Amino acid sequence: MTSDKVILRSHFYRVGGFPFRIDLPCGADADRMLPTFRDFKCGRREDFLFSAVCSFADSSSGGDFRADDLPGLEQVDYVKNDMGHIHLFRTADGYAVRLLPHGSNAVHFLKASADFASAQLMLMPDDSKAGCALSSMLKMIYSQAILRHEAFLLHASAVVLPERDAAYLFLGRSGTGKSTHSALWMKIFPGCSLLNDDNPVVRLDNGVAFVWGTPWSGKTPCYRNIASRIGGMARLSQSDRNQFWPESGPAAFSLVLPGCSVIRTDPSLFESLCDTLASLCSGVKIGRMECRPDISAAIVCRTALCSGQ
Amino acid sequence: MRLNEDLKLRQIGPYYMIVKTSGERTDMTDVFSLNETAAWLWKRAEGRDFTAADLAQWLCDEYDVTMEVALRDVRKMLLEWQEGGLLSED
Repeated sequence: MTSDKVILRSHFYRVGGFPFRIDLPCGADADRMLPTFRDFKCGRREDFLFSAVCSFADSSSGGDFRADDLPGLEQVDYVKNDMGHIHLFRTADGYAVRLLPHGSNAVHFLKASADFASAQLMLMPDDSKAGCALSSMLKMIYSQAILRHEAFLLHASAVVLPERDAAYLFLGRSGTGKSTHSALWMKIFPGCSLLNDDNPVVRLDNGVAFVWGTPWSGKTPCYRNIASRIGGMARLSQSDRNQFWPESGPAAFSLVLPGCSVIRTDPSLFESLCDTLASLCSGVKIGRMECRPDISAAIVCRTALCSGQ
Repeated sequence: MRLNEDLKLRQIGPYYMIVKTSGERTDMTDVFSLNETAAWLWKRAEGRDFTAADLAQWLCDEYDVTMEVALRDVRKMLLEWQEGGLLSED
């Protein structure tokens, strides 16, 4: 048994207008571990959304952490996504996450309070994916912590159209062509630029919906710390024709809900999201876009989303 | 009978809905649309025991409709609510 003193250094970031704090062991290079967070750094704050204390495990002690090693914890969810294999557990006073990144055999661990306002991370520093794991875990904490503040992380690609002073969001399952559709808008509409290609934040400000760039943008390196009013949202599906179907009320709500990051089995988090979404759906133009991967799709979609505004 | 007290009636502009997560699959959610009359009945039924006849009576008091028609419509609606898990199972 040994005891080592570890000195932590606080790092402050602000994403979607929400400041948060990460304490990393002194000597850890935050910019190297979190390269996509560079534009999101901010000065010392006291009013943060959440704080996360990160420690490095002795890689010889916890390297083969398994789901069975969490006795008595109820597994709430298991997903395999672009981050890797993720197990979510309910603890007595919150949540625990076990993350095994793709192409790695090191398991990283996260514990968070039920409201995700405070979290502890245990990373395997020798893993080449430790920085990715840290970024992924911060995304998990952040995505749940913002739900109580009229905001949510959305699986979407977002573009900004300067002439409308507004952003347009494209939703859909992976592989539907969200990035392709964004690229078409950028190709034909002057000044149109990508805001985020995978996980922007949607946030209500006095009832008006805004979208913010984040440090999480999937495979596309687009980490912009800017915000724009939302002009419209379209859920894409592949088709042999280009047609837009406007939706409203519960139908619009149902188009956006599947793309939102929320622990659905947590009534408190889920209710907060539903309140925000219901409010969003009464003010934003939303519809289904059946599309081909061609320029005419972008024109049809833009015409529909920009009409009557 | 009683309403499922875990559920909340929500309004989006002129529309009403109830969002219910599936107990078995964490990625499934049901979104029920209610028309104005159904939403009005839901609000009156919240937090109390009621029968189909109670709801039909409320309709008759509020709208120009016969008890027979009201009861038929209410029973049909309550069956949908029951199948959708919108009613308490106790």
